[in-house]
Amino acid sequence: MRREPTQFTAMAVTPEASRQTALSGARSWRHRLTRLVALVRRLIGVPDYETYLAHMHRKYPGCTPLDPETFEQERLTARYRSAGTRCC
Amino acid sequence: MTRLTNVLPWVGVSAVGAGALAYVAINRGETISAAWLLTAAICIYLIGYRFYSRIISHDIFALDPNRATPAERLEDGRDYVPTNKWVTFGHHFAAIAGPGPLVGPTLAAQFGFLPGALWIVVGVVLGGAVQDFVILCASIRRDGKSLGQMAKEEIGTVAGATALVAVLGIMIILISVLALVVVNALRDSPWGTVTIMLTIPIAIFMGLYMRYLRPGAVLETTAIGLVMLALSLYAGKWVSESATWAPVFTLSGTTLAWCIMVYGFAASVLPVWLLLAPRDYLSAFVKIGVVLALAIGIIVVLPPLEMPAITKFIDGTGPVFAGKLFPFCFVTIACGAISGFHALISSGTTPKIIRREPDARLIGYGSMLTESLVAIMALVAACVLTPGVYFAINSPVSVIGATAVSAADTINSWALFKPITAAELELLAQQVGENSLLSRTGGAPSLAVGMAHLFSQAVGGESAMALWYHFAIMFEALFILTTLDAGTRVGRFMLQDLLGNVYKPLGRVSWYPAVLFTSAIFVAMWGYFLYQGVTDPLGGINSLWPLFGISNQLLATVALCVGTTIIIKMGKARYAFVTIIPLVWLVIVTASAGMLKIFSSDPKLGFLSHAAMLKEQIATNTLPANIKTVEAAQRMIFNDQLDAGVAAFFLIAVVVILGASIREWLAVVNGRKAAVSSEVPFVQTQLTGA
Repeated sequence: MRREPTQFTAMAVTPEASRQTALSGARSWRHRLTRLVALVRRLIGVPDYETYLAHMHRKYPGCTPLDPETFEQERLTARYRSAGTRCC
Repeated sequence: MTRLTNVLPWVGVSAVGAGALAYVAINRGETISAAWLLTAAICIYLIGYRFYSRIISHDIFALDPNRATPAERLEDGRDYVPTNKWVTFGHHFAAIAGPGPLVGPTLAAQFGFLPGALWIVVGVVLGGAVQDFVILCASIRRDGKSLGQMAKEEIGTVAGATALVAVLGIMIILISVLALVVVNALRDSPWGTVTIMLTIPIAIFMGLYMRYLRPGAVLETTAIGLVMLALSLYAGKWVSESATWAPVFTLSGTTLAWCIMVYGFAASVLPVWLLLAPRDYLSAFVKIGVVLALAIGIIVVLPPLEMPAITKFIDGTGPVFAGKLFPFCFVTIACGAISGFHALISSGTTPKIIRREPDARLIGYGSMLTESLVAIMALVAACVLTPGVYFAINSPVSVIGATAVSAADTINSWALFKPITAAELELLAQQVGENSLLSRTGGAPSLAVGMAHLFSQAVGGESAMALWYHFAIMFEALFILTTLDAGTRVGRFMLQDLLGNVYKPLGRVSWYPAVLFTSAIFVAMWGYFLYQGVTDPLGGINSLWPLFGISNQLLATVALCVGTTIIIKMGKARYAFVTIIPLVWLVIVTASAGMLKIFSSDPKLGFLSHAAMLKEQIATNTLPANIKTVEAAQRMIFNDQLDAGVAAFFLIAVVVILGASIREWLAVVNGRKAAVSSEVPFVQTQLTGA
């Protein structure tokens, strides 16, 4: 199984990222911001369509994945269904 | 040499921790700084994490970075997604940290700060964090199975069924008591009421915006929502100062109770994207923000603790809730020390997203330590108030009367604390922008006053007290209501699952009549307890909070029984003490608290003796003035009996689970049953990198 870059490098500084810093300050900031946004979205539990899409392409290249809206709806429904997502 | 450098820092941490703890424990008579308490707590957490959690991670489960986790093996891009360790930590912490660790310690402050602080710190290291971590590991090794499934498979069908019904019972009590906390905070407070009511249209606006205008722009929408939330704080202020509008939004407890029931029903039947999800995003930010603000406020101000280390009320005569230090301190503070509910999270979403097995130590044990620190901070915020003020806010009307003069007189007559004057109480209420702060039981308002006290010393001075107070109330109510609305929906699904066995169509989640019907039933269940609490002359928290504590500890008992069974079946019986120690303690605490709540001859404590006292008063026509009619008294008698029944049900559930578990343990230990672990076999991980 190949490593999925968008998923695991959110916190680590990759060689590409440090090269980008050398290339252009603005681009590096943009990159950091994108990573921060991805991080915050995951922290508050927003459905992660990109990860799902990447997974589907990798594992089931022939299948049509759910569209973003259906995916989001399915995720949100699942989230408020079981007692295992929130506490007192 | 390396050995020495490894050991020395820990010797240092131990020395600092022991020194701070000794100072806190020995110091009498003068106020001490919160810094001592925080230092002692943090050192103990570090030592617990480094040494005690190692027994679970290394000796029991032998967490292995090479063993593929369910997130990797079963990856589906939805439930099972390998996730960064720190993201999972944040996610898990946000899921376990609710209003529980804020309210419990605030109430238990009536015993002084020491008993609560010791229980929070010791309980978490030896109990709460152990439970969360063990259940998390067990679930990771079983493809992310839930607590109920594990109870059924490891202990037996009866235990599984008991766990399931217990969870439903806990949800009902939990939601009702949390709703009661909100009602007591908003009662006769137009500012708070308007601010909280406005969060509903804000959430709906956000939901529509995310769906139709900017799909997927969650953070942008949430930022807009946060700005609107800040504006609603000022809208509330404006309303509370307006002669025409203030009376319209000055609502009684019963009206608010009905509003919250309607809201819970709506959240359960409306699409989640419209109300639940946007509120959840808002609440997540507000929650993290406020926990951080509280931490920064305490660290910047390092306030002195005005509350004595131990008060006279450990003898059971306290006004906030009835009962002696043992067992009621340990029932009142559940979340923050040990909370059974966490076992549902540790066997819910989290085990499905953990990327590598060793991450579980930080996520399972570490998150719970962090929650415990939040509980310590809540305790500090309650104890920075002058004790007289704390008791004026947290004692029911039946104890301190309805006016500032009667409250001050009653509290001064105890001759326990620095005397307070009625003028001081009125001035404080005025400073925070309320008509009165008396008898706002439930913990949220006194925590808000404590926070306003802290924050205004850091930013804004006394003139900012009112804004800070309402800011604190807004965030508490916001995330309590988020637990309430999501809980109602979950409860509705559980009810549909159960009733689907009786009449099949009721189980269909897409059939609207079934959805409306089961939602109404579930809301009616918690609504009944809420209404009972709101109309109770003793303040409601008095009877409902201990029930919540007992139910939560019952669930912890289930979790620890499951954990012990799993450890014994792994052939690691010599390490089973890690779950048996907290289990034995919890069974003792839950059983004695439950028995006292049912059978105590003190009518302030025992449900049945309170009912008997009311019957006697009806017969002799000597009902006290705050119970207006015989019908009201009869309703209270019924409620007492119902509460006694609920407590008895929880106790029986403890006995059933414990009995079934012990039978299973003996069978394995005596060799009548093979010690076979039900773990999914080892699979080598394919993931690379750390």
